[in-house]
Amino acid sequence: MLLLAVSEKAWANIRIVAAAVGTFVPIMCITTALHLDRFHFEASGPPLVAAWAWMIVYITVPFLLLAAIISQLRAPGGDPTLVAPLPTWLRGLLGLNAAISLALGLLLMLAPQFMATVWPWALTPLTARTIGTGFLTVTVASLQFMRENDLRRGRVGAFSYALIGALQLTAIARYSNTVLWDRPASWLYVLFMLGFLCGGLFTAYMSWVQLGDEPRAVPA
Amino acid sequence: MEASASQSVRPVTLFTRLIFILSALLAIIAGIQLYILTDNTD
Repeated sequence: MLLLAVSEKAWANIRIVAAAVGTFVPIMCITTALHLDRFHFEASGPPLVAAWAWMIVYITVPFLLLAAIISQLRAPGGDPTLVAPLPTWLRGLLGLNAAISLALGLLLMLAPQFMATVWPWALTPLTARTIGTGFLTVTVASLQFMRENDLRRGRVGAFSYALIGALQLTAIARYSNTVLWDRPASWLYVLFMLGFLCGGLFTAYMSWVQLGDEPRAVPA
Repeated sequence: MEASASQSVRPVTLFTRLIFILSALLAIIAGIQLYILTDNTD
């Protein structure tokens, strides 16, 4: 998503990325701080290097992103005219996605041990909160997408939804023997990720292929 | 705020592009670390 955003010219077209990364990294930093004992700071060799690399990423990136946002707000100019307002059905799907992701994110962050009893696979408090951080990020991205109310401005984000779904489904298929298929949540999770994949692909199609570089309005 | 006809569109600054590229590289490193650091035993 970050690399896709680099090719955009207007700040309005990458605000969703800034909102998503600006949510993920600080919360991930807090999650890391809550579970510092799980990191290999007492080890030696590659685990120690890995632990410090992780810490450096999540401590430095929030400040780098803040500096970038400040530089953007100081830059002159305004937002481009809306190109293709979101169809009502897409706003509804984004709202549903945000609501489900918010519920999952909060539960995973605040009640990780309870979530471990219903989640599709084994969770530790650290992994629960890490996944919860991801869902809270999706929540903010979806809300920002609705706020932008433009397919063109959501172009980079749309691709990311599809990528999340594809990668999650790939991981589930790859490690299907560790998924607890007798739990209803497993099937609901697969359904949710299929929603990410299909919704993301369709929205990406509309915003990349149908809209093109010379955009036209998409009927609601 | 939408730009008026006489106003330019706020661009993505070079600084932001550099930060995004750096963040992407760091995120890739962090993603690889996830598999190394996560201990699923408890």
